[in-house]
Amino acid sequence: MKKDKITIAELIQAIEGELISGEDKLDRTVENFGATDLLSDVLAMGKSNYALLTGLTNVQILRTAEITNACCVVIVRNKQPQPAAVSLAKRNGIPLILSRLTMFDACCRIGRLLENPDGRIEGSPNTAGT
Amino acid sequence: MAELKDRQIRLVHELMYQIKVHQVMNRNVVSLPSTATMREVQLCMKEKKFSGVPIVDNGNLAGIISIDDIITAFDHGYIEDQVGKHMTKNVMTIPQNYSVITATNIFKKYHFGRIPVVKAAGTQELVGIVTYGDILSHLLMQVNAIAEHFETIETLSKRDQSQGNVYRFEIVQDNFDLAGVASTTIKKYLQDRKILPDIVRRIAIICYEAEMNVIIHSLGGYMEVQIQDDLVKIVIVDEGPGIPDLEKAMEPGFTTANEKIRSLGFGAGLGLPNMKSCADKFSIRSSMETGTEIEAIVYTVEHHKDLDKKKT
Ligand SMILES: Nc1ncnc2c1ncn2[C@@H]1O[C@H](COP(=O)(O)OP(=O)(O)OP(=O)(O)O)[C@@H](O)[C@H]1O
Ligand SMILES: [Mg+2]
Repeated sequence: MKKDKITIAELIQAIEGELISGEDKLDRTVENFGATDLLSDVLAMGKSNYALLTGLTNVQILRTAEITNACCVVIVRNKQPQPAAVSLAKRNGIPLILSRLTMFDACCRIGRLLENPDGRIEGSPNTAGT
Repeated sequence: MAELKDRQIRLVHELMYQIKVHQVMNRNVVSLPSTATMREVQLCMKEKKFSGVPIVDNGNLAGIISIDDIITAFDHGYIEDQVGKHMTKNVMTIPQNYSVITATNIFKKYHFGRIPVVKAAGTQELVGIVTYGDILSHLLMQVNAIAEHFETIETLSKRDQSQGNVYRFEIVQDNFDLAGVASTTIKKYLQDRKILPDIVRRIAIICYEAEMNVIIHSLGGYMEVQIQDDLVKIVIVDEGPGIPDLEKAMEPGFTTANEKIRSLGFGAGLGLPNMKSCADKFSIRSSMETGTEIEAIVYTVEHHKDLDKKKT
């Protein structure tokens, strides 16, 4: 059986994420996903209530998330968000999540979570990617 | 106004608690092993103009040598000794996930010039070093951003009183730090008016794309948003330089954005077409003399849109 919704908490677990803000929103559901370093694309994507996965670290990822009704923002590849991004995330209560995984690996983990009926993550092969 | 100041002070406090040491620390720590001589430490201090050098063995902090230790070494003639037996061994450290408030308190109490930062409480793994100056400059930057944010809101609320439902925002060329503040503020106003989330989202996207374009491509301008009973009208005017070929600019993928803009995540040439598709009515005029003017209308009550469609 396939899942089409996961919670932010499940997402964090799947991508071995670290939550920096928005602790009160862990049980919200994520309906869509967007993975890109192009905010222009995100704005034209037409999705709401989505998790934005990105390699960008600037404050604009949070402004874009706010404008487009994203439900959380994930920074991949172990990058540190810029201070202005952290303080905006905290002020607005948007969950900001850091993951050491590459974009490719993070997407694979989420894909597997969506496929997996009981939501448990199995060990991952050592995939390379960016 | 007094209330605003209070809020600002409270924010600074909150900020101090929220900023963690790892966000302000210097990650490129210059250190020496305990087998180095006092002389080597002294030369390192001289070269880098440091007043203290951490001693690190296998990634773990073993001690610290201060400039006082070096002076004493000269006095007592052991400048060629290894640092191991002369360094201060019980060094006060701070875990990287601690708030900068804790660091500030240590600086105040002990008058240290710097505090070594360790990976986690109870470990000695050195991941950075933090000075009082690091904390101060980070904080000033943040306070500045917040102050600007409040200024925008303040101008906005003044406008709100005098003009009913018209909100006007000045948009400054190249000001990326504040890019999107006008649009997110508008979004909050619309949400307060209980407009449907999907409609609010479309209006917010139009404002944001327009705001970004004025910041990136123009010399500056303003955005005016009019909230009427059944529609929202967005007017964006800039002072130039104008768009030479409008038809081309409206094509998805056409962009003149440079590498810097793209590294920020923009410049795909999707903004104008996206604005158009989010709006119920969209018009753009541009002149190489006076600049670019965009007007977009979004109906906030469904039946208007249907009427419009029947007409066309
Ligand atoms: N206000 C403006 N003043 C001058 N030129 C503009 C203005 N707005 C847009 N343009 C021109 O039109 C082009 C297309 O704009 P559009 O918003 O569609 O894409 P973009 O801003 O380049 O990228 P994106 O919006 O995807 O981040 C721009 O690259 C720029 O050359
Ligand atoms: Mg644009």
